[in-house]
Amino acid sequence: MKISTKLILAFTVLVLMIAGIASYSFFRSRNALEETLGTNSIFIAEGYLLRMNEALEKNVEILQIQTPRRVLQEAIAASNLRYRKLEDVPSHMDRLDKQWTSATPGSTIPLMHDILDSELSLELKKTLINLYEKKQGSRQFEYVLVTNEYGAPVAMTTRNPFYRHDNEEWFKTVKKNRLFVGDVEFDESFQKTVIPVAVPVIDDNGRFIGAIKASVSADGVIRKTLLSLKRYKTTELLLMTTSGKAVYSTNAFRFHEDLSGKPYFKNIKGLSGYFTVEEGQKQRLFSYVYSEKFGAFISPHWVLLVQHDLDEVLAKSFILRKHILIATVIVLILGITIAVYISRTISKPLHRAREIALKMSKGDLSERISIRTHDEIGSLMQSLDSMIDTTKRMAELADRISHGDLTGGVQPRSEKDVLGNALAHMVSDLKGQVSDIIEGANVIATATGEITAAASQLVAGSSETATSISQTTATVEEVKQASTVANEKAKEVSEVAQKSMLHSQRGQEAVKKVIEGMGSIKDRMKQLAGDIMNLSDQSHAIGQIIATVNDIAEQTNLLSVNAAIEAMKAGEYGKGFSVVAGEIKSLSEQSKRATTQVKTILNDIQKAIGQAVMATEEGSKVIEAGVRQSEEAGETIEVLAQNIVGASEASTQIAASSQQQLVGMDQVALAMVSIREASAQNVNSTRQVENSAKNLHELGQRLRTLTANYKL
Amino acid sequence: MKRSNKILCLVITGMLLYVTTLFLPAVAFGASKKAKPIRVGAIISLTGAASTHVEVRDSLLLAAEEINAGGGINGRRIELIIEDSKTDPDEGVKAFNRIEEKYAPDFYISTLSSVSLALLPLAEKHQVVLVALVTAASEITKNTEWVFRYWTTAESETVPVMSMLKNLGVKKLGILYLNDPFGISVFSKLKEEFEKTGGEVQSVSFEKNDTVFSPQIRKLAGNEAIYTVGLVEHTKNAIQQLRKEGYNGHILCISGSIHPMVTAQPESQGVLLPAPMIFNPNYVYARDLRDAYEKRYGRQLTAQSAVGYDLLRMLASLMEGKPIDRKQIRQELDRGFIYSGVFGEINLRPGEHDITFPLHPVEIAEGGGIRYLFESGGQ
Repeated sequence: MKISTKLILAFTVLVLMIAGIASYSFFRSRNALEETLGTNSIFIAEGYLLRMNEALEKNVEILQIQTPRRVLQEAIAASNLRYRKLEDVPSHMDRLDKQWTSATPGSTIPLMHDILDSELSLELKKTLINLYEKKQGSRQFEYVLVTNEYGAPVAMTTRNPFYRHDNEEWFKTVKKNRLFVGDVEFDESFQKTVIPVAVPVIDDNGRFIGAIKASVSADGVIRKTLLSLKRYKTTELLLMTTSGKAVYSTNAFRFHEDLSGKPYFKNIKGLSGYFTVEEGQKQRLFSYVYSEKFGAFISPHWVLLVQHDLDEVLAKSFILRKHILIATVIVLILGITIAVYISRTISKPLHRAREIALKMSKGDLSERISIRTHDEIGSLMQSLDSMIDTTKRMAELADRISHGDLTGGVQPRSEKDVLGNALAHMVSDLKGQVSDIIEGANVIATATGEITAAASQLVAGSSETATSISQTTATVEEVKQASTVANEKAKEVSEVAQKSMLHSQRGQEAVKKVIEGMGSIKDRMKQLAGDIMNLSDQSHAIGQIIATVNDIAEQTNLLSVNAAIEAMKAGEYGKGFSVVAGEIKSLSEQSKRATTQVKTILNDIQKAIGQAVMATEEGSKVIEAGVRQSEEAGETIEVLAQNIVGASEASTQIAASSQQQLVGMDQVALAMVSIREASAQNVNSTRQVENSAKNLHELGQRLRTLTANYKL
Repeated sequence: MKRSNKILCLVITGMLLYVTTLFLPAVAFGASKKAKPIRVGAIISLTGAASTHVEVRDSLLLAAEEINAGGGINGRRIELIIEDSKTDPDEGVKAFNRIEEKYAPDFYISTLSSVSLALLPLAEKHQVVLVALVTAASEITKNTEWVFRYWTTAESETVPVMSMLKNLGVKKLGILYLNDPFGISVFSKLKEEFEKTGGEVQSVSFEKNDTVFSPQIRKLAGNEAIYTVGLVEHTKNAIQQLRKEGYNGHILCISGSIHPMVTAQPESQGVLLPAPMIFNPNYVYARDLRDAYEKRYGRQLTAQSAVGYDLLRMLASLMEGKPIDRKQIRQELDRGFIYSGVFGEINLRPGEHDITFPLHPVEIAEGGGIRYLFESGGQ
């Protein structure tokens, strides 16, 4: 594992331990805080009850202060005096009570007027109600009633529902010269929750003469107590009876609503305590106190429940938790940052040293160590830097030696300086060896110069020969190509001659067939001429026959005319004969016309035959001429065929000769190619020789130059 | 990855998990506060003749902020959806329908008698509680199941006015009233009560947009006192014109007229009216609200602003620890309750729908101050 990783891990573990301790402390302190707040909230509840007690006590005192006032004493005394004169006080009071209670609501009967508008009533209204309203903005007392010793009203600030009060609990109490503080009640007249209080009025002799009763505003006692002691915005008070009936709350509530089923009521155990309850998504801290231990003014049947939202109560704790969280995160970040920084300050120089050592192991001495700290790492780096310096000096010395500078002496730093001693020995040995090499190099350089010159001459000669061979090869190649062309042409000629010979033979045979045909035509023409002549003769015979027929027709015609004449002469008997004569006449005329027509046709035939005879004669002449010409053509073709045969034989011979010539040219061309390649190889070889000679020469020169660098 | 780096990663991951575990309760606590909000539709006259009701809106916002800062009601935040009725019943109805369609809030708040009366059938139809503020018309809570009022009624206005008239010995009363449900309601009740005592009443009405009242004032000039019933702007103009017309009798006006617009004008000096106790500088129950409101808005606390604030706080207090839906809210209101708020202890009787606060006779003093007339006997 890397040093940096180890360091970060160490820091992280450390920071985690701190965070763990912090969170443990926080949760422990939170529990302690909750406990403290719970206990404190009990004190708060007790404080509220005490304040409420004080407020009630103050109200009672205010009433007590009123009792010795002259106006009050006189009014009560006057009333008592009137009542003492009455024979039956209870009946009187009953009668007046009936009048009082039977009055229409909202209306005022004279009896009421007398009391409500009495000087004492107006005085009480002014001093006990309006004064506080003006002073505090709200009423301390909602209502004040003064009675005489019989419980009959003497003065009142607002109309009371009843006239008679002697049977009421408060009156019975004060009649015993005791103070009265009742339970919270909801006054329907004022539509307000009030706490009834009453004090006895005693005269100068200490005798009970009457009472003052007042309804103290519950708001004025309880809510004002909350406002004056309010610790948290979410603090609310709930006053209820020990059986769980609501009598007052700073929240919306219903008078005497049964709250015994509520979760908080079930947690009320003992005279005081605290607990937390989750309602909806809110956690509330409740504290409660029973009132029985808080003096005479607080009803012993009350339980005061004080509630606060735990969010608000523990707001500081939540802020603390948030701060611890932030601080933990900051410490974590800082811890990791410091761990990383320290690990880097250690690992970075070591890493650098490792890199430089690696480079040194590869012979790279260019790096220097720039880290300059005054700790152990710094000392290590300085030693490493010094080692680089020494190695570098040795390397420079080796470099000088490598450049041939053997003049500098090597001074070993100590007897244990292995490298220094070895270098000193090496320099000494090198000096002697280098002297011998210089001499040898000079000799080699001279010899190689001469070899190079000879090789150059050889290369030049080879090149010229190779050029000539190349030219010859090219010429032979051209001749070879010409021979190839000639050979091909000779072959073509031979083939044409062979074809011509065949054609001439076919021509001879054709001419013979033509001559034979012409002879046959000539014979047929002779036969045709004889036939045409016979035809001509026969046409003449037909002409004669037709002339005879024509004569017969004319004679017939004459006979028919004669017969007709005779018939006419015969009269009636010759009429039939006349008809026959007519018919004969007609026939003779028709015969005559037919003969005429035949004669015409015959004339035409005769003319045609004449023309045919003439044509036959001319055809015979032509055929004869054709026969002769055919025979002449046959003779000519025969001569031509003989010539063609001769030419064919000659061309075959040419083609054979050309082929032989071509074969010979191929052999010459191949030989020339071989010569050219051999010549080229010769040139290359001579060039290689030349290059080798040059290289050898350069080597000799370099050897000379190198040895010249040595400073001995 | 190298072995050492793997170990490092594992350690850092473990560390983060460890720190998260340590403070998980704090994280979980913050995350748990995201329940569905309780939506409240508010249809308020932000513009028009009753634009002073802007103060109702402002106080609602202030109360919602405070309640939400304390974790809301049962951990649920209050979300106000506010729409302007423009002092127009029709606009109010449109606003109600818009809100109902889009948000279906848990309950509604409205201001102004005319607008609230227009919304009344909608609240009944949708079976949602509508609490009307700054609404004095008697009809608003008659024969309704779902509509409640938190303001003075015509009846509660009449009591202190009658007390003042009695103390002043007035026998002939002139009433100048706004011709709308609110004005008619208050006028009728006072007329009835005053005539019961043998007094004589002469009345003249005006319309919502009227600004000149001289003709009416001349008709009423022969009376020993003139009582004006109207919106703040109407009262302001009426008082100015009464003074201008040289009226020498007593001038009284309705409680809602206690507003800097009225009290600050010199003509208002000597005007009598009923008022809640919140204007008494010694009154402790409104002290915190007065400070917060004036600090936040730079304006004096008025009855309008106080009632908006108190309503929301009252309902928050009433519904704490109970399931919250439309039916449950109505049931809780129906059961009645007692609440100690800005106006002192107030009481809603079971089955009733009017939550009123006590009014006391006051006189507008020089410089716009309010002087409580305690010697008159108060309520």
